[in-house]
Amino acid sequence: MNCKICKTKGIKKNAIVNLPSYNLSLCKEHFIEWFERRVQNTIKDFQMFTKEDRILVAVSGGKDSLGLWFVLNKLGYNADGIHIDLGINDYSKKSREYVEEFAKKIERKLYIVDLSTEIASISILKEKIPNKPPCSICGIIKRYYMNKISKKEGYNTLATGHNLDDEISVLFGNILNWNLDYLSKQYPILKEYENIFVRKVKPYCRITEKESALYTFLMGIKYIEQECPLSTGATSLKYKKILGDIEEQFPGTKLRFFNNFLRKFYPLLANKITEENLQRCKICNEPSSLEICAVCNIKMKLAKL
Amino acid sequence: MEQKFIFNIKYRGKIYNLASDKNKLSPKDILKFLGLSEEYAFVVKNGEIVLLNTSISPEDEIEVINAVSGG
Ligand SMILES: [Zn+2]
Ligand SMILES: [Zn+2]
Repeated sequence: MNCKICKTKGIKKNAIVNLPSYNLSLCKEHFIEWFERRVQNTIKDFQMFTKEDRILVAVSGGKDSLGLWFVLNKLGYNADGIHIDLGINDYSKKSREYVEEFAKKIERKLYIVDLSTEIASISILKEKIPNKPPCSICGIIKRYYMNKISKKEGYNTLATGHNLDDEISVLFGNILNWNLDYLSKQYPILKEYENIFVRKVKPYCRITEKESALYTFLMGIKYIEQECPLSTGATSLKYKKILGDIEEQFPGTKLRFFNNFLRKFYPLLANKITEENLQRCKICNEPSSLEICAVCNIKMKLAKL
Repeated sequence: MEQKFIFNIKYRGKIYNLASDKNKLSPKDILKFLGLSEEYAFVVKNGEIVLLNTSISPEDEIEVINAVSGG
């Protein structure tokens, strides 16, 4: 199969990727061009940020976050990185190495939060707080430190590598349960709120998992391919499989599901976002819906054990 | 005894040996062998990403990348 763009210029070149939902086959060069334009357009369409903003990218060491960090700088944005070392054995050690190596390569500043010194590693938290799923503890802690460090170091925007497949698997789960509260917060940009929350953006929200992996691979970026050992069998993986099966039979479904949610359904919910319960944690002064925030709560539980 | 052709496939840091009666395989066969979907995975032959209609020989260096991740 030949590249469609090359063909319009009268050149015959082998395609390396087929994008059935766009009816496109592209060579290496034109895929890269297509991908970067798509990210750029997403940033513009949702008015995520400009070249004047100071952006912090949440980098896990996986293909999405490292690729995102790279492409934002390539597109001329001012983006540094933050990595949370979760302390999950070899997996976290390797992830951190990939991130540190990459930060040096692109010469951008990297902030590291080491959970084993801040609170305790996820492996230990999992043992000590068995009634809470580790992915939920991990999510709470990540969001807390990312917001806190962004503010402390003077960044106004936090970018995460959530891709289209991540977004629609969460969307699918939230719709199956008609979880209106979560649905009302599922948008590619969440505006900053006073000096409590920084702006949160997802520039990869219209990029599929495979497109993201292809780009990161083509850019020669080394990343951790291994899954988090604690997340195996996660529901989101099963939803991805189901949605992938639908997509294979009906190309374009994934993108349509997401776009139409944003266009048709989200506006019905958007005015539901309220910060009325928001207060500041008595201990750390970070935002919380209760007197003591979830992270301080975890710290207190550990101290009592 | 019939001859088997061995294809060495690198996937997530491990090498898998696929023994086949055929001396040519397609990336589709290889994804099938690993139980992966082309919706999420792709095949790299001698360092280059290839489409599913390419033919692969036992002497080719094959790596499979599965894009799917949890989280
Ligand atoms: Zn081309
Ligand atoms: Zn607190």
